Amino acid sequence: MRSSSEPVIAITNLSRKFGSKMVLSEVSLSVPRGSVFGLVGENGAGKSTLIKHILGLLRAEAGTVRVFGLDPVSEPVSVLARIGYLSEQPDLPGWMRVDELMRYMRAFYPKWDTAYAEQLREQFGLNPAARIKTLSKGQRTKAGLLAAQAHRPDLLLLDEPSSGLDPIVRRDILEAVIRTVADDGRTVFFSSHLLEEVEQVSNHVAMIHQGKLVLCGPLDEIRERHHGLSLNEIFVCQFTHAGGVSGD
Amino acid sequence: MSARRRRIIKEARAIFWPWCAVMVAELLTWFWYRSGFEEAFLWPGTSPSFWIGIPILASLPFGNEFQHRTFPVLLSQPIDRMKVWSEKWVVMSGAVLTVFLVHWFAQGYSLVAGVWVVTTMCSAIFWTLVARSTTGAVILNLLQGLGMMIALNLTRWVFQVQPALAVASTTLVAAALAYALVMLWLGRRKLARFQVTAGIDGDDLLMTGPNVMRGGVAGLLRCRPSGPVLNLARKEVRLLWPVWMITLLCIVGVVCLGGLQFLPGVSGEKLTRVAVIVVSALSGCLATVLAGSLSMGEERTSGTQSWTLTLPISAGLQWFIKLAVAIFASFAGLAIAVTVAQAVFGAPFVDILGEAFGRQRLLFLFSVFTVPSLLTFAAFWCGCAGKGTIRAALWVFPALGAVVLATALGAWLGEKLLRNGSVIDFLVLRFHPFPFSDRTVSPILSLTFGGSKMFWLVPPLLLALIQSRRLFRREPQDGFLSEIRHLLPVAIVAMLCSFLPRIPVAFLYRAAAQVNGTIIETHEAVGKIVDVTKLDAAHPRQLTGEDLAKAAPLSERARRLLINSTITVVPKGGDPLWLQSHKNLSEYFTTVHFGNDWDCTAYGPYFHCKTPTGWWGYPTHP
Repeated sequence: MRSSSEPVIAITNLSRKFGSKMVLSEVSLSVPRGSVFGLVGENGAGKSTLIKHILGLLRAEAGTVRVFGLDPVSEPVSVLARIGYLSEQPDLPGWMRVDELMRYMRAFYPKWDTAYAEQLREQFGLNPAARIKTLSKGQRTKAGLLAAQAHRPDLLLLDEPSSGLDPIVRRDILEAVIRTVADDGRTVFFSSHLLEEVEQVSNHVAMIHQGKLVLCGPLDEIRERHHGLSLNEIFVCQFTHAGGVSGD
Repeated sequence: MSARRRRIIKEARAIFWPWCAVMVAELLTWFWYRSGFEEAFLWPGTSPSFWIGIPILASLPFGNEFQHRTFPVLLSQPIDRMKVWSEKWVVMSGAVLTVFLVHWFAQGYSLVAGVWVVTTMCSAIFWTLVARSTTGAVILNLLQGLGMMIALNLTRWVFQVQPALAVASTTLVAAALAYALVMLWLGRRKLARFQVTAGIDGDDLLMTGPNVMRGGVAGLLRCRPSGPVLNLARKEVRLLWPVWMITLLCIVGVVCLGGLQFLPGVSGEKLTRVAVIVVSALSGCLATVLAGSLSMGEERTSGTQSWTLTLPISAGLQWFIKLAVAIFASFAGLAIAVTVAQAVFGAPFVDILGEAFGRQRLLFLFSVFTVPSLLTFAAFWCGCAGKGTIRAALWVFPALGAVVLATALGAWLGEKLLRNGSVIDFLVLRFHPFPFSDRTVSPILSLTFGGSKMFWLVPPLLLALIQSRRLFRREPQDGFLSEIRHLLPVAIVAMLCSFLPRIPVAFLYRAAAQVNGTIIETHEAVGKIVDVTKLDAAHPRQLTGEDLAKAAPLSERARRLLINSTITVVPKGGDPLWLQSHKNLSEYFTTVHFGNDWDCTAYGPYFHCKTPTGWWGYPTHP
């Protein structure tokens, strides 16, 4: 039995190169259980690569990745069974209908909650008879979110979840989902390049820039260290005016 | 550089590698025919690379736009759509016509091939815009081709005598050309009125495909709330719907051709050969390649594969299910098509197939189903190494060609070693300066050249299997070089597997060649120092190898081999029965008793050896 104080995600000195390009450089972070952890950074900073390592889709070239204390590459099934994942572009099988997608997913997750799935479907206004390919981008994201959430995962992993959603729906959905999951004692890890969004919902933040982690910790502490500046202001200060990264 | 020229270069670049693949396939087919295969099997003008490659090339200019989801961007550019159409059509025509020229040069003029090229060139754009994918367009073009073939055969049957046949044929060609013109116009009109109505995934034939399965079949294949493995398998079966459609198309074609054979005056044999072509091209080639490349290619293009990898089921199992379903689909599709064709055309169908795949029942069944399964696996490997169905399908034949060439190179190097192996000669002389018995030789020869040589296919296949398993998880890199990089180890292993078994054979061969030379050299040296007229059968002349070496000049090789040997010389006479039929026997026979207990007797240019384990070199010419 693993201790409840053990971090859900523990990454130590993770480095990754694609060809000659260093995409992640000695990244270390720890995601506490029950937290809403926001990973921010500009496009191409290495957020999605980091998430792929957490999912076990990429093997760590250097350093270690542990999710629930397990190596997601060597024990993918045990790890993935406890994760709900939503990618930036939910690449669901376009030819499936929403109800078939729900049946398809249910077979993979013993903890699938049919009533909860149905509740989410109604909440998101998804027509069960509609084919995925006929859904709008926003609806498709909602279908992906349904698939990721309905088995009540211990860790909800969202890669740019708000991409493609209009601002109001984006705010409502993000707040509802993330608060619900966090209140339930579950953990949310999500990446975004929209700093306001992260600031709005997360209690832990990591900032990644050109593959290097430049800020990491509880949001309150970070803001306190930066004299109450918003994340957006901190980001601007660090990367625009200072012309580089300053230590925190 | 003008904008128009830039756009044409962009179009040419997009079609260049597929064009190379089709051209290489066409050239390989040409060499294949030159080696005499075609005369024994199919009628002139038949080549799957031509019949399938042409529609692929013709569909690619617009198919690529759908595949890469760039069609809306293309249409949003401030360029007249008709200009876009004409530029794409010009590039496509150039590619198609060069392939046709090679085909013409290699296999001679064929009216059917000409009409096929023209109609395909003119209709491909329309079909691509209808299907919204290259694969769908290729299938529709093939359907159109099948209709043309049936119309041609019907015309030949109805108007059997000249000049009616000539008039009818001309009318048919004119009708086909008119049809082509109409399709050309329809293609232009379709582009001019085209509306981007689909969602972000497009609305191509492959994505809408599984919807065509309705009722019971769809119910059977619909995902259930339990059994994740079965759900994955069901999903794969549904994704492979074009394979089932091609099988259906093949069956319809065979049945239609079968209907024609009952009409009076129709050549049943010719129709059977056409049926063999239809089954080979559609089920044996196109469907098997698509079965391997489709599910990987489509899921990679749409991004579904990386999503599927985040499901809590091992990637290895997902890979296995994909591969198993692909091989099953190609096997089942072919089995159904062959069974229907056999039922329609009877034994002649199997006989014609047997000309290519072996007349022995077991060998026939093995070849007919193993070759397509290998083709499916090759396509699956290409699907794992690259991105996209068409890219994978076009890679299959060049990749297989590269592996076959590597194997041939290995065999060629082995043969070189066998014929001029100075290193092997040295090793033989140093470590085993005696011949090997049949008991040793037979299994080695069988392993290299006999039935067991199939064993040498296992290492490259195994490597390709492991590679595809690894590549399945990886995000494929864009670019030609990464696929070549993945292919290189397989080709090297194939080359080694062809080369390495020839080393022991070369060792055996060179050992045998050295012994042959030594026996004959000994026999000739004996003739120089012994007065053969004074030989007495009752008192044979005895020598040692060393005596002979002192009295007559012997080569280094012979001196080494004759160490610790004794030589017995007797006059000719009492020839064994088998020897009496041979001419040029010498007046004396020389028996060398080697140090390894081999007794070799030379009778002039002939000799044989008696070994502790049996006879050897009976009678072997040096």
